[in-house]
Amino acid sequence: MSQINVNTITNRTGSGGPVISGLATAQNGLHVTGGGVNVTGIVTATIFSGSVETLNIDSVGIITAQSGVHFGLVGSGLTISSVGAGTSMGFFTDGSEALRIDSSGNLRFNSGYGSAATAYGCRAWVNLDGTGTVSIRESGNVSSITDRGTGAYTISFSTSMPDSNYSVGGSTGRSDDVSDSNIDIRALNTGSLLFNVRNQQSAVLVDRDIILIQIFR
Amino acid sequence: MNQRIIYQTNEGGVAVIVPANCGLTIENIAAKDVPAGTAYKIVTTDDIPSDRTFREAWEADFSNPDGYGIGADAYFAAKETEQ
Repeated sequence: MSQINVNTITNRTGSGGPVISGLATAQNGLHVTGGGVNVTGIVTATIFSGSVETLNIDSVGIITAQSGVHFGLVGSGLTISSVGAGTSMGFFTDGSEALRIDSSGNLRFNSGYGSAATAYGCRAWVNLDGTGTVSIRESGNVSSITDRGTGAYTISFSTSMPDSNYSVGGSTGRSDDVSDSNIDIRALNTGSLLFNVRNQQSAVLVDRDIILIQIFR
Repeated sequence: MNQRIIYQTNEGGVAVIVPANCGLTIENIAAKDVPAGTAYKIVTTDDIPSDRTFREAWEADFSNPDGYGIGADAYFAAKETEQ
């Protein structure tokens, strides 16, 4: 096996870049700039730190590392792409699939469910006080709530729903008494949700200080 | 945020928009969440009664509005065009 000891590698005249045949070592490490480095005609590629194998790429492209793979990111961050039609990304722990992003972009995960199933995330939520000066305690994907009158509210979404076929969960409460009211959904729009709060006995519109709404799609 | 957006409803009452902490300016929220073509005013919470006993009787003067809503669809379409 041949060995080339180099301190500087320069482009060959008339070629696209430097070519190293055999093994190369460099006094102060090997730095590649410009078009990068292409390694061809190999079965596996192995990187050593001293005499310890730290990273290996096998013949089908599976990367194994001695101490895990750590990405140190500078600048615009990390983008991982699944190339090719119909491909997905899977993440495994201890040999079992823990998380997958399928070819349609659906996120599946197994958090004690027995298998990686599609997650249907909460697309918007709000915790509001409908009494006094109406206010939002916290919210997600909500641009505003509109107080339309006693017990009448509109939630406007920061990012619209893909259609109006979403599902709404909601509850009301009173911090000073037992809960006695229900959420009455009036209109599901892509950009907003209209609902009322009604007394569950008389059905009259009422203000409540605890109003909790979640939207799923 | 101690600002509120108010507009007159079709029934003649006053709707009060409470902005969320969503990264949009109050002007953006007003344009998006006030119904298209409806005049609005931007006020402070001090201008809104905290006593809601006669909530349906609230009135406001919209003869000198701060702007007009364009609605969510037009707002998002305009944002898309800007990008």
